[in-house]
Amino acid sequence: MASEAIIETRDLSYSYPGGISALSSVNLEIRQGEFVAIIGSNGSGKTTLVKHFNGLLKPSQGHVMVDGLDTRTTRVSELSRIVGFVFQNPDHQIFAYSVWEEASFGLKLHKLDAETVEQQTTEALQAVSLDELRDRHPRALSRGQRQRLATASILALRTPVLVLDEPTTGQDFLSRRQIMALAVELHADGRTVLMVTHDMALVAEYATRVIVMKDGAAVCDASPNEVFKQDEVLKSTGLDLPPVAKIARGLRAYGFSDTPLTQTELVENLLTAIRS
Amino acid sequence: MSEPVVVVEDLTFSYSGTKEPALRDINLTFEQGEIALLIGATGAGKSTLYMCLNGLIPHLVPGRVGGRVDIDGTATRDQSISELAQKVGFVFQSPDVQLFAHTVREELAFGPENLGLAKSEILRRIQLAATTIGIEELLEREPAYLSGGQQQSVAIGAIWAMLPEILILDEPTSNLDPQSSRRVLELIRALNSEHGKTILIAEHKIDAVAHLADSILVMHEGQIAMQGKPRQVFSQTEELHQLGLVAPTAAEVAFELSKYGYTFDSWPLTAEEGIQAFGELL
Repeated sequence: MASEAIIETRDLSYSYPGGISALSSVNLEIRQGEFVAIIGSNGSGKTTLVKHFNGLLKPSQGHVMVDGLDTRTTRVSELSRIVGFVFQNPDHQIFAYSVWEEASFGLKLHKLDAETVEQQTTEALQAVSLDELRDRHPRALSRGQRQRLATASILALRTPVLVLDEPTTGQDFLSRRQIMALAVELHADGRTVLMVTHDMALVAEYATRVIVMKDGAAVCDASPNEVFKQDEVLKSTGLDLPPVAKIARGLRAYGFSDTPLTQTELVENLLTAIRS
Repeated sequence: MSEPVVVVEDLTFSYSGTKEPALRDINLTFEQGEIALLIGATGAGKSTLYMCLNGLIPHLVPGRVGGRVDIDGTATRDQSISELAQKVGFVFQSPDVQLFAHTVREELAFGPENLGLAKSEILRRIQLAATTIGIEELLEREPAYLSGGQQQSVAIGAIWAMLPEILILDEPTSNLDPQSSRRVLELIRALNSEHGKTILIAEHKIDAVAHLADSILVMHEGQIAMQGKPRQVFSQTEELHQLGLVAPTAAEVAFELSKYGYTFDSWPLTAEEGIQAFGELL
């Protein structure tokens, strides 16, 4: 997988109108093909940070480079071809009168020909299992289906970078698994996935890299297992170890030394340890 | 545990204009002072059940009702919405759906004012709610500018000011970070243990709430599919999976290990119980 930076922040600071500082001197380099989790408590600056990646917010100081383009001088419409942003609340995003119209809107905006629009929209709807509901009104969908529709309308754009803001909040177990299976597939396809979340089990299971935000600064940037070792960081940011990591750590007192991230790994490690 | 404060008998409900019932043959009881955890996939009928408990069904929502719901010994159809509002408090999933006032104080006053209480009683209720919930220092703040956890506390406080016997909380931590989630769950536990309130809580985050519950209710396609003590329900892992649900992580791991012949005297639910149970195998 290529490793050049697709998103780079240089001394990024941002203050909301009224002067409330939300980000201070954030320096990050996101490489193509990474699966990054951005975590931190409510108000730590996670969403403010990712809103800079598609130009929704412009830096108060410093720069954000997206695929070599400075977001200060690049139009949002241009950036939206590179970074797709799926909002936490699908109802903030959905506005059209049919599923198909909603999913194809961005493509039409990019003035693609009818055939391409049809093909990419259909593929995106298939990916989220909504292709059979293409004529349905979005309001007649369940919350989980609307979340998937919001995802499809971004997928259709085939952007190399996807930002998922709290992708599983309020989703039941099956929808959660479906949404994440899709994210994994897109990542395997070579896309860069950035996920803002509170769900530490999600972080452990899926992310290859974790950025911890606190008071507008990136206070830790490492692999999930590295982050889970840092008690001080977890404590000061109010984050919990995911259940699997918590159990594995507690089992150290019984001579267990593995650091599994998923439930399946924990079971495998336990079976090996019990039998030895 | 004493007597049942909620009794639901053969409850069936179909929304007006639909054929398929949203609830079918629901039978359940909540004892005074019980914490019941309601789990079920989206669309299982949880919201419809809440509306049957706080009287929105049958009083406001059009549809066909069969069977009965007794709150505090009287059928909901024989009690007014305002009577029921003082017995059953409902806290919405997102506090921003519920909160609307300019100050937390006004937010807490709204329910008691609508009950037509005397001014002195309204002031007493505001103070009581603020002290119990621990939001006294927020009384003059504007709810819209509070953190998610604080907003959720204010939403619970606004319901608390009505002094309901029964509290229904719909995914109270779904929008909260882990620290705020812990605080809200501790608050719910305190409202139950120190004030004896009966609590019905719906959550997808099973790991965080399983240990709080006295009983578990599993809903599936409008019916109660499983019902019992947490250890009893969460040890039936395969049945849960068939309903598209999962048990807490420790119980899931125990289930996987049991396939290899390992047995557990007490089925672990929390991480701590898991550590103990799996540690003994090592």
